[in-house]
Amino acid sequence: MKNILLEPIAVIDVGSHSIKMEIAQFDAKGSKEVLTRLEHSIFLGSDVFTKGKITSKSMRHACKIISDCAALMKEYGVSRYKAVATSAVREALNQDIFINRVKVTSDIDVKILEPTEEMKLIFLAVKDAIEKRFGLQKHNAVICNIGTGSTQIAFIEKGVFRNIQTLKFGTLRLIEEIFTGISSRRLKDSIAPFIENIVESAFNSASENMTDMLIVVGATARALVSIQRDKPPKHIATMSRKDFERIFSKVTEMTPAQLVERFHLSDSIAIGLEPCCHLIEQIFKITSAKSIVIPIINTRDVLLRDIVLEASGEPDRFDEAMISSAEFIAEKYNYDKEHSTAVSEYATTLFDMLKDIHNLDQKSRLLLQLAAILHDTGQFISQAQHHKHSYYIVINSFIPGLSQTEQKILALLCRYHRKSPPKTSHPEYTGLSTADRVRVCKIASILRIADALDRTHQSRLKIVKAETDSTTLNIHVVTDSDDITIETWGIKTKSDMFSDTFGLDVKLIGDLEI
Amino acid sequence: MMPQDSFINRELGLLDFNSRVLEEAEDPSVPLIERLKFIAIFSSNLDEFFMVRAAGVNQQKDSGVTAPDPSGLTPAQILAEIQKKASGLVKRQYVLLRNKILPELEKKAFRIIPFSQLTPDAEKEMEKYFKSQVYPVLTPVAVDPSHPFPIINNCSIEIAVSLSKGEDDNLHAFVEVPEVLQRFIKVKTLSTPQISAYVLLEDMILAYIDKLFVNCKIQNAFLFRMTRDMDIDIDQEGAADLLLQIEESLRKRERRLPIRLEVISGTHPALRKWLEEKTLLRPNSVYEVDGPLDPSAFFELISKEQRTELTEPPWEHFPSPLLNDQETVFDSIKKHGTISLFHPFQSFDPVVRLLREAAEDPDVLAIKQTLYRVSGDSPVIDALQRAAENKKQVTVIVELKARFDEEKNIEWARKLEESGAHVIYGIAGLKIHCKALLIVRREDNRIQRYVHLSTGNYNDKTARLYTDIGIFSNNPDLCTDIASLFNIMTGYSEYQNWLCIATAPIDLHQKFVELIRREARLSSPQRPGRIIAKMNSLVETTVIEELIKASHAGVHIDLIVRGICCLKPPRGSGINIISIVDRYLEHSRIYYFENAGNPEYFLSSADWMPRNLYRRIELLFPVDDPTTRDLIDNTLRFQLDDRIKGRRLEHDAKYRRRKPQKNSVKSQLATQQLFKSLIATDKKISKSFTVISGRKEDG
Repeated sequence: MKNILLEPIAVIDVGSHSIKMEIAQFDAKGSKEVLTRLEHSIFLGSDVFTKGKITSKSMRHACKIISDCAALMKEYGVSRYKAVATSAVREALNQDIFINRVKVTSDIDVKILEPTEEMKLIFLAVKDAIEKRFGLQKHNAVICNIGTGSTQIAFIEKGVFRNIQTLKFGTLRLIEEIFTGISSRRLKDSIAPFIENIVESAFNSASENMTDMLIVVGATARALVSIQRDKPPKHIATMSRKDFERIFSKVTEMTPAQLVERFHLSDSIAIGLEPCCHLIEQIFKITSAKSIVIPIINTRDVLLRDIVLEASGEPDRFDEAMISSAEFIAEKYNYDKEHSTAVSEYATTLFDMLKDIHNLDQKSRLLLQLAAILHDTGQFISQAQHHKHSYYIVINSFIPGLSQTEQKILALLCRYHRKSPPKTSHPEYTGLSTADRVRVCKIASILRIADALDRTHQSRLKIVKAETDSTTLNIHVVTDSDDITIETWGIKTKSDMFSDTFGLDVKLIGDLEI
Repeated sequence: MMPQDSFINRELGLLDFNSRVLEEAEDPSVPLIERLKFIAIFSSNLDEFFMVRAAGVNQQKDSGVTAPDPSGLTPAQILAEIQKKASGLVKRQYVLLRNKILPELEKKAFRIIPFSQLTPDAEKEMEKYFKSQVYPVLTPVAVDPSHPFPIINNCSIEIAVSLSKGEDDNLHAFVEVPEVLQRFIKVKTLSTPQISAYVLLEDMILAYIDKLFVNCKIQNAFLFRMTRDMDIDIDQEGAADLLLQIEESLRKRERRLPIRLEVISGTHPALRKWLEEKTLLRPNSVYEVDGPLDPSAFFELISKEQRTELTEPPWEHFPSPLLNDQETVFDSIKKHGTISLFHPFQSFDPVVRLLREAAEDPDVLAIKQTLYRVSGDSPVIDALQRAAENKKQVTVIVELKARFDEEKNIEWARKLEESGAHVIYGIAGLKIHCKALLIVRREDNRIQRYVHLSTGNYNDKTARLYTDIGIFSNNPDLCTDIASLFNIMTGYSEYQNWLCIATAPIDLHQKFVELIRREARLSSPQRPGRIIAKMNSLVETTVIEELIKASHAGVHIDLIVRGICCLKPPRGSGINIISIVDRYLEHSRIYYFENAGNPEYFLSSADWMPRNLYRRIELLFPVDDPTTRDLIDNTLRFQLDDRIKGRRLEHDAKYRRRKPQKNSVKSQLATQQLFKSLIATDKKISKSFTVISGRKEDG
């Protein structure tokens, strides 16, 4: 049953250069009414990008702003909110202290928004509209999320999420981190080669297909639209290459102060326009895109949408994209597609049949599915210890929509699909919270059973029933031959972890397919 | 840059306004007590003029400024013009007071008796009063080498005395006429039920002056009044606590430079010269008056001598037909979307009622309000206090620096803080002048917001005297903008973008310029543009230039400017400037732009003055509600047609009354009747009034 969230909700976005909040409410038809907004500049970015951590002065400042947010939330009777921090806090060495200080001073829980999660939210928010207007299915697109502190580029091939790259490039970071103290003349000369370099390496490692569609999001990109025309469109703007070049040269000719005055921009946007244009120019060069698509959407819109979706209990329809990017990674490591598909099939079937005993959420099911796809990727390196190789590969790959913890869990699931179960001597495992450790044990146990069921790599079984009594899990399968010896043996060797985790022996019962 | 002859000097423009106030006192068709009231208003206006405006020009001159103002006058020239114009006005005022108003009042209400003309019985009565009430509070201050020259308080009436003691015959002293005492002392023995008799406090003290100086011989004594530079100037950059700083600067005020000396004609020249030298008075700063000093004190007498036959009959403050006692103000706003109140024709009570309802309503979560000038025992403050006590989130943004009201402001601000409200004392460098109220209320688990925005202050007393327009609204865009504005004023947020409002100092000036330019751009001979702007003062140079340019483009411009108008309408231009001075103080700011048939109406807290556009937080908000627009159309039309209380500023910079016609109206009276008819008939406003688009030529 779909729950409609009518109460006021809030999002707080702790960025590298500003903290923004929006309080809004949605009506039954899903249209949004903004109740109030807050925006305050802050120097987290310059702290982190030059010193590695947030200084105590900035921390005090941020805590004050966030407690103002909390005061406003009280005034509007908000209890449901999301507070996220992006690049600066994400990279800060003292992020835990920062998050705790905020919690203590304003009782607001700030969560780090991983680039992949951020991209996932953006993709979900713009997908339908772009699909409708430009046919995402027909293109190889990139979505480029240009922030003040970092930039993510997601590669979407034929409407499917393939890869995501995070660049340590931000419209303001560039100036703060790299070019502090050099003359503006030299700055201008240095920007282009610097950006060319990072863009090329991002594209090279991400995709072999020619990109023909360029989607850019971010406040600075939206500012380009307001320079382009007096009344920007409401949902999606487009800008031809020629228009872009015209605006770029306008931006280069004017000082930031003139830009502020002429186009009613904020100072930080005006300063960031030139680096932003350089980046877009480089991406243009490397792609065959003829225009830029600029969705008029910001992080707060996306997060508000996410709160509403979460409350509705509906799946977010992003699983598909995540599975596709897992497959993309697995392909890169020459995986056995049929085996992975079979394991995935068995694993999810068991997962669904055993809900009562594992009591795990939908996200865990997805992690199981992803692990089923990726568990053997380590074989690319070597058959021996391949579970450990799979672990490195997964921990170092990008899958959109996963938080850092979730990615760790996924990598551990791959690692524990065979051989040693989790031990306290495994630091990657002990680094997880208790709940997540239990989650790893439960999911990995199921994965092992599923893997055993495709011991032959021929996907010849079909699970028809899984039932438990007080001591045993009985898995009823049908097969085209009556010989399930290999699978039975497989279960025998791979069910220890399941037994230890759930306290049940595992027995395979075969029936001839009728 | 426009030629200088398009401009009128600002200070002289303000004196012109005072001249129009004086005209009201001179108008025999105005009831006698009201005329006396205009005399008093004239005086208090002129005091403020010297304390602030003339003081400012003096500061400029002292700091060596020689650059001319837009009208081409240097500070020195301006001061000379001020002296000439102000002396003329003061002379007119005292001639009127002495020859007309006081003699007529003697026949009908009260008389002021010189002390020398008292009967023996009356003198006995007065001596008794002096001994018991006056003498104990008098403090003579001697001036001699062992006592430094004392600080003479701003605008208080003082007595300078020269005296001798034994062989020493060059002694001086001061006696301040205490402000705590009544200025007019009723002489019971000479009063009749019809005609009261009074003596002036200073006359009484002068009569008994020898009682203050034992063993001395009084050689001479005379009355004077000193006006000082009171333009408060606070270094806000370094102000850690604005509240403390204002308290401090109030004390410092007493030591500011003297600007004007008023003496009674015939004062002893030597003593006067001595005083001028001792007080470092600039030349040409002495004003001789032929009558009592400080006629603004007549307010005190007027409040004692209520004579209905000598005053304007009171006008009712009508309720709004869109509000009723059966439902809450919230419900009424929800029903109508926008409800406007035209004060003082319509009552201010609904604003107080809304606040009171909000204070007790369990669903109200937050109340935010700006407060600039509120009355002493303000029901607004009481309601906010109550709301804070009921655990609502109450945020009050207090402007402490409302001129000359600072002391009063500090008092109630502290009171609010104690009740738990979040009180914010202004923003460094910017005076908060916008008038806004935002209420956040939970209804069926959702948030509904309500605003009240006005051209006038949240002051229940002045809402009975000043013409202002306030609107209640639940328009979401307007509410979001006002919420953002509060977030800026509370320091929570930086400016983002407005959805429908404009504010100073961010974008208001630019907005006005853009609106005027658009009107010029859209103007064609077939369809000339049209601007109607009503404000208190028009001073800002670039706006004036844009108006003149727009008039060259064929735009018809009607300006209704009550006070200073620095725009001198070029001969034959389409600029028509009217000033209205009547029983109510014109205070609303209305800006109308025809926009080629898609008219836009705005209300604002801001005048077209530099201080409003650059140095204050001001608000301009659109009015889309058709009913309110109709009412605005009607009131503007009345004002443009007012040939009785309206004067027209002509190209020679003189204000003249136009020849009354058969259908001439007094705009305030017509407006009063309009709002009366709304109640009586409960009908929609007649469209036949509405002639605003399609300009009616002035005959």
